Amino acid sequence: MKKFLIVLIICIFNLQNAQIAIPIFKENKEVFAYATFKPVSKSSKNYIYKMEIQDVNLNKINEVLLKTDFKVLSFDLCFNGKKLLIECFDYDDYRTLLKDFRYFIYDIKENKISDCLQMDFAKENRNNIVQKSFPINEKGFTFFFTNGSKQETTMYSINNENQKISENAIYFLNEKNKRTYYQYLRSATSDNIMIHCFFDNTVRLDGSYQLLFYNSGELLKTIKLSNGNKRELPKSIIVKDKEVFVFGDTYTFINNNLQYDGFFLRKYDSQGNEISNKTMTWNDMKPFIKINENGIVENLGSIYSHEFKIDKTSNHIILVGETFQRRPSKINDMIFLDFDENFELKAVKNFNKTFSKSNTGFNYGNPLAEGTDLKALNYFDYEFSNDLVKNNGLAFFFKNTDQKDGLFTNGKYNYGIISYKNNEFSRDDINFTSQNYSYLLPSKPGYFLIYELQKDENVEKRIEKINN
Amino acid sequence: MKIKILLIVFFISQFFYSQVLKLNDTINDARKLSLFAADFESRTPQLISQLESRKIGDQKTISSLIKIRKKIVLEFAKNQYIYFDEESEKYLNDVFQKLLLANKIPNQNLKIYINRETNPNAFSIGDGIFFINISLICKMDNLDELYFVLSHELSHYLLDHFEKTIVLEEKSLSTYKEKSKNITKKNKFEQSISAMKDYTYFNKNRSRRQEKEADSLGFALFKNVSNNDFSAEKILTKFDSISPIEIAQVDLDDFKKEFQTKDLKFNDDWIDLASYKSYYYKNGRSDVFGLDRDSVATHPEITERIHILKKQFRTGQNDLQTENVEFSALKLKMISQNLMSYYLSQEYGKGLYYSLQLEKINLASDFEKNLKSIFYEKLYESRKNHSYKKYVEDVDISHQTKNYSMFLSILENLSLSDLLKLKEYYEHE
Repeated sequence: MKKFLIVLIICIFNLQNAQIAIPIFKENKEVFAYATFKPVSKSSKNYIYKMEIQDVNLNKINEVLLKTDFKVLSFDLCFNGKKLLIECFDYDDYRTLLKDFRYFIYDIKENKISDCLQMDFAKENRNNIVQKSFPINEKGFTFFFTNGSKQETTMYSINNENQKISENAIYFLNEKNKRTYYQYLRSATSDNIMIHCFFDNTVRLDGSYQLLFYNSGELLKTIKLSNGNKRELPKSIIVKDKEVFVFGDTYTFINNNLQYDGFFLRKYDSQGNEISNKTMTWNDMKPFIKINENGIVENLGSIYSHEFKIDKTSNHIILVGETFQRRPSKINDMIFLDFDENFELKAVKNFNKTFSKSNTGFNYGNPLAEGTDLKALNYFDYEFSNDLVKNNGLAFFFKNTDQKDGLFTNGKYNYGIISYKNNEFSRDDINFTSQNYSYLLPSKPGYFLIYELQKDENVEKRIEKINN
Repeated sequence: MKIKILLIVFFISQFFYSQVLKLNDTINDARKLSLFAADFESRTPQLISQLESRKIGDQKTISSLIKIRKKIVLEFAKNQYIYFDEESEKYLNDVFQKLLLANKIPNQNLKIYINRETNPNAFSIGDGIFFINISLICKMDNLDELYFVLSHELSHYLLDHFEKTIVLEEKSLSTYKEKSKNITKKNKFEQSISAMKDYTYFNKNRSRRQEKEADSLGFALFKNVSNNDFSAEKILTKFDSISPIEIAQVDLDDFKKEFQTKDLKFNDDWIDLASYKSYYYKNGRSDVFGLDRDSVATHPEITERIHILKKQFRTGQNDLQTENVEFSALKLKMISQNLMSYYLSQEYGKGLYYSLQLEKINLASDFEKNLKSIFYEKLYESRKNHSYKKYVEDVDISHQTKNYSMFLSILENLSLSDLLKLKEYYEHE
């Protein structure tokens, strides 16, 4: 009967295709549930969407209707353990002006949705750009807005009832006594600890990254990730047992250009006091792989670091990256660096996959900038990571296809999973059963969600186990 | 038109959306299938004339209905949906004949077939053909229960419910279309929902009314062949049971025995269902569009139907269980065949769960044990190919029995190598 009703509703409202399932993450990055959105009605003034929440086994938990005054192209979700923030964007890239920004606060337990909400802002802030939102553990949410004309970033927090808790402008004065503009990069939250990373681009080339440590919304410390002409570019921030791990790339300014040096780990306590600072250079990699002093791996090229993960059993740190050659860009193997808890490199492993060539005609002076742009243009194949078993092992997912030909055009594609367990890497390939639009999404530890559009246009979503 | 066709298809076959069955020519007898097709086809002219005489739809509608009907039969054939067994069919048709004779109803080419749908069900398709499925027979305890099911389905036929449904569906659909046309711009969504609610409730009410009518007439027919009114109540409750059917209770001790071999140690973490308790599954009566869930559920009316039925019960009756050797033989055969149905419908998880039940009540012969090892093989292959969930249900603690959820949880937690060990162990056992 349910299926019949769906057919009927489709006929009544001439629905558009349903948006894909969006994972709802807990604070520890584990998938809690999935949300799917379907448009059910539109008129000149109103758009109505049905949101369905499913548990990690895709059983329906709840559903609710959302009414907006514009056509939503993307939804973004932020779960604080109690309430779900549903952000509505009229752009695909999740960036919108404050005056166009709408959101809902949804109580999963009570299945109650707020009205369509809009920020209460001063007139001069109407063109602020909504950058990102974060959960405040069971209490509310924090938004970041940037204001181009005032050169500042605002941190704006609300409670679960949409009442403003705080509003802080984040800005600093540089040597010329001018406010600096901070571009958001990465964040991590755990309990009351919140660490954000911004890029100070006041000086075009010589900018550096800053870490901002907050506790219960109060700014504790600002840390500049630079020393002379040495710079650090954070890629992952992880809070584990009240300690903050910041990982990323190291580089040096030489003659107005960047030299890619290797990787770093900085460890802090929850107050922002540094515990340790370690680096890895290309020379450290030489015992494991053929690599030159510029970080070029033989036959594979430079390394683009996607993210760093910590295996909770061994405390080993895994860097997942992808190799690429330049001029023209060619995306090659997946590469994994296995560090012990002291950031001593223990193993390097690369996994072959179908290479992709970029036709963008990049000609950068350094691999860092080229890698960043290749990433922004979606040329890399790495998708996401997950725990292999609860608190044990890691799994990394990537596409295995020529991106130039594109996915789903020739049917010759699959996904690969690299598992890391007991200090060993293993590979598992996923071949889709249909040649239609298909992809993977994160799921509970040890599993992934497989989404396949069937020949009859039905969507099949399954939670499958990682074989390792 | 498209909706109308969908409606008709839906009415004729609720099973149409179930998993596709797999061909297996060694079992399906082509000759019997062609006889069935011929029987089915021979009824078409009469059905057309019935529809025409009742002025049900225009020629195009009737022609579409006939085409869909034919397509469904082809699907039956292709997917081994029908179970052909002369002995079982003969027994069921003999029982049916007794029911007709007892009620002085002439047998106008009425025929019962058995199907392999794995959810308990029986239905009439309006042309004198009735289907009763294997899993429903497995759930029956005696011949009286079978009599009530047949009486109920016969009543649908005698009351022309198939034809009436088409007429009423067509009427409600045109009313709905009319309402939809007249929806104004103001409150468009609310008006659309209101029209949809009217349409849905109308058809559900019609369906409920027909079920009650079939119960009432069915019970009157049933009383002429059976002296056990309680069996009518009992079989009705079995329609309301949770899938999959359970013929024996298997519990944690059984799972521990099953999933432990000399190479594999049972892990208590496999049965951890605690994480599902952090969800708040909706318990409200209405769905997001304000539709009463109870009104659109498949069998919400069972309690109400039993309540009404009981008013017709004869006084001074005892719930006497009468043993019938032929019925017991039929049931035994169906219990075994039900396992095959799981295999053919590629429901390997349910099949394995059912295998454990057969073993628990000592009904697993070599054939059933071999099939169990095949289920393990299929589960292993599907896990290897990441298509496991095509063949095994998700854990759903709010809609499954505790034991079945536990079973699924264990199965889901088994690694590829665990499944291989089990497959090899049960292959050699």
